[in-house]
Amino acid sequence: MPYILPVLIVVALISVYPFVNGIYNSFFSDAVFGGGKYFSGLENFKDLVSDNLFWTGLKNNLIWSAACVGFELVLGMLIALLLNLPYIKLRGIYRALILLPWATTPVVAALIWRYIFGVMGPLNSFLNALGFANPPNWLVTPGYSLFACIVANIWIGLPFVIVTLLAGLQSLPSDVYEAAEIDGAGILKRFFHLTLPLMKSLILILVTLNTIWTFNMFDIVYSMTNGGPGNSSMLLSLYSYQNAFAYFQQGYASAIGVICLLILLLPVTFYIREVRNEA
Amino acid sequence: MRPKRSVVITMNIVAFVVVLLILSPLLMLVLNSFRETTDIYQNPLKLPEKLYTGNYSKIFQDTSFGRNFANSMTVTLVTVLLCIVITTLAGYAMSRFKFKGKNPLILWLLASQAFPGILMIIGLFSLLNRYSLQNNPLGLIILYTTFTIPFCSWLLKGYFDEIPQALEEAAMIDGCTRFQAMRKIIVPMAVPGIVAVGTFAFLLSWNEFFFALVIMRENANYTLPVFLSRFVGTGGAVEWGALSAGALITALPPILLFLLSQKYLIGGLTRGAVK
Repeated sequence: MPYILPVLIVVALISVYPFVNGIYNSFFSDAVFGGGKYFSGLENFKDLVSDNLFWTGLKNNLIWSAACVGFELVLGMLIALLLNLPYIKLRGIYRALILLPWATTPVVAALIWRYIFGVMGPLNSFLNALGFANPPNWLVTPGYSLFACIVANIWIGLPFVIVTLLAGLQSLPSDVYEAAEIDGAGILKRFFHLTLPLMKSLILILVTLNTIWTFNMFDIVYSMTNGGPGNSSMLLSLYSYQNAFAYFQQGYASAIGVICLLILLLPVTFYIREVRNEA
Repeated sequence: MRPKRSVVITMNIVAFVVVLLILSPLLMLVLNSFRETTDIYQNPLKLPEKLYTGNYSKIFQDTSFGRNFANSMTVTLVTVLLCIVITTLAGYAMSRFKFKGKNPLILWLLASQAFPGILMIIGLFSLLNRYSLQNNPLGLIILYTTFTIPFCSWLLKGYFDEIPQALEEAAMIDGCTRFQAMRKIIVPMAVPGIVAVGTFAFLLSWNEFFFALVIMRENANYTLPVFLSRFVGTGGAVEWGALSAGALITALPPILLFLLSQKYLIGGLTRGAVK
C-alpha cells in the first residue's frame, strides 16, 4: 500500500482542507479597514439575496452556461457528423487541427477575440465592407459584451465537444445503420432514431462536464471585458474574485463560491453516478 | 449506396472551410505578430506586405517576457514530472488494490473537478501564507500538481485495468518485488496513458491563469498568462503588435506538444466517455 500514501496526503491537504475552509469562511464577515474577521452566521447569504449585482451575475452565468454548452453541442454535433463522412479527405489531420483552440492558452484566446471584436477590429471592418455602416462597439456596449465573451468561449470549448462526439460516432455499430438504410430510413430518421439514442449516455456525460467547466470559467470574461461595461457581462466567478481580492471581503466571496457549488451539485452528482456506472 | 460525386465535392469543401474558420483566429495571431501596431489598427483585413520582426525583439528586450517565460516553463515542467510520478503510483494502486477508503477517495477525486476555484483559493490562502508559498512558484507547482491528480490518476487507472494482472504475477514468481514488476513490466505497457497524462498536466499548468493571478504578486514572478493580461492593460490603446508576438510564443509550446502527442491524448480524453 505504500503507493497510495503520498497521494492521500496531498489530496487531503490541498483539496479537502481548502474546500472545508472555504465553506467555513462563508460564515464569517470581514471588518473594513483590516479589523479582522468575525462570525456572522448566515449574514453573507442574506446580503447576497439583496445584492443586485449578485443577481446580475447569476443571470449572466445561466445565460453564459446555457448558450455556450448549447451551441457547442449543436455545432459540435453538426461538425462531428460532417467529419465522420467516410469520403472526407484529410479527416485525421482535420481532427488534430480542430483541437488547436482547445490547447490554446485561454488568456491568449481572450486577447485574440478582444482584438477581433474591437471597435476597429477585423469583424467591424468586415461588416463595413459588407455595407453595415455603423457596426456596434461590441465590447463596450451592454448586451453585446457578454455575447462577444460567449463567442470566444465557444471557440475554446467547441473542439473538445467535436472530438468526443466524433469518437462516439466512430464507435457506433455499422450493421445497424446498414439494416436501417435497407429498410428505407432517411438521414434524419437514422439520426434521431439511431444515432441520438445510441449516443445518449456519451452526450449526457459530455454536457454535464461541459456545464461544470463553463460555469466556473473565469479567464475569458476577466481578460475581455472585466465584467463591463457597467457590470453588464459580470459572471459569478469574476464577482467573487473582485470581492475577495479587490474589496477584501473574503467571507462574502466565499459565500458566492458556496452558491456556485450548490448550483453545481446537481450536475456533479449526475456525472459521478454516470461515470461509476460505466466503470 | 454511393453518394453522388457532387455531394462528395461539396462536403469536402464545407469541411475544409469549417476547419479554416475554426483556425482563422490563430492564423490572424500569427500574421499580426509580424506587423507593426499601426498597420494592425489601420488594415485589420489585409495581409501584411512585409515581415516585421520588431515585435519579437520588443517583447523580449523591453518587457519581463523572457523571465516570465522561464517561470512558466519551470512551474510546468516540475508539475508534469510530479504529476506523472504521483498519478502512476495512484492509478496503479487504484487499479490493483482494495483498500479502506478507496471508494470515498475515487468519489472525492471525481467530485473535486467541480469545485469553484474561488472557494479553493480562499480556503488555501491562509495555508499558502503560513508556509510562505504566496508569490512563490513552489506554491503554484503544489496547486497545479493537485489539480492534475484527480483526472490523471483516474485516466491511468483505466489503462492499468486493461493490463492483465497475470503479467506482474508471473514476474513476481520469477523473483521481482511488486514495485519492480510494476516499474519494469506494467509501466512500459502504459506509456500511451502516461504520455496523455503528461500532456494534460503540461496544458493545465502552462495555460492556467486564475490561481497564478491571485498568487503571483510581483512582475518577476508572473507566469505568461498573467504577464499577458497585465501587458494588455485595462483600457485604452493596446499595443497589438508586441502583444501578438508574446501571445503567439505563449500559445506555441502547448500547441506543439499537443500536435506531437495528440494521438495518445485524444485516445485518453475520449476513452472514458466512449468505451
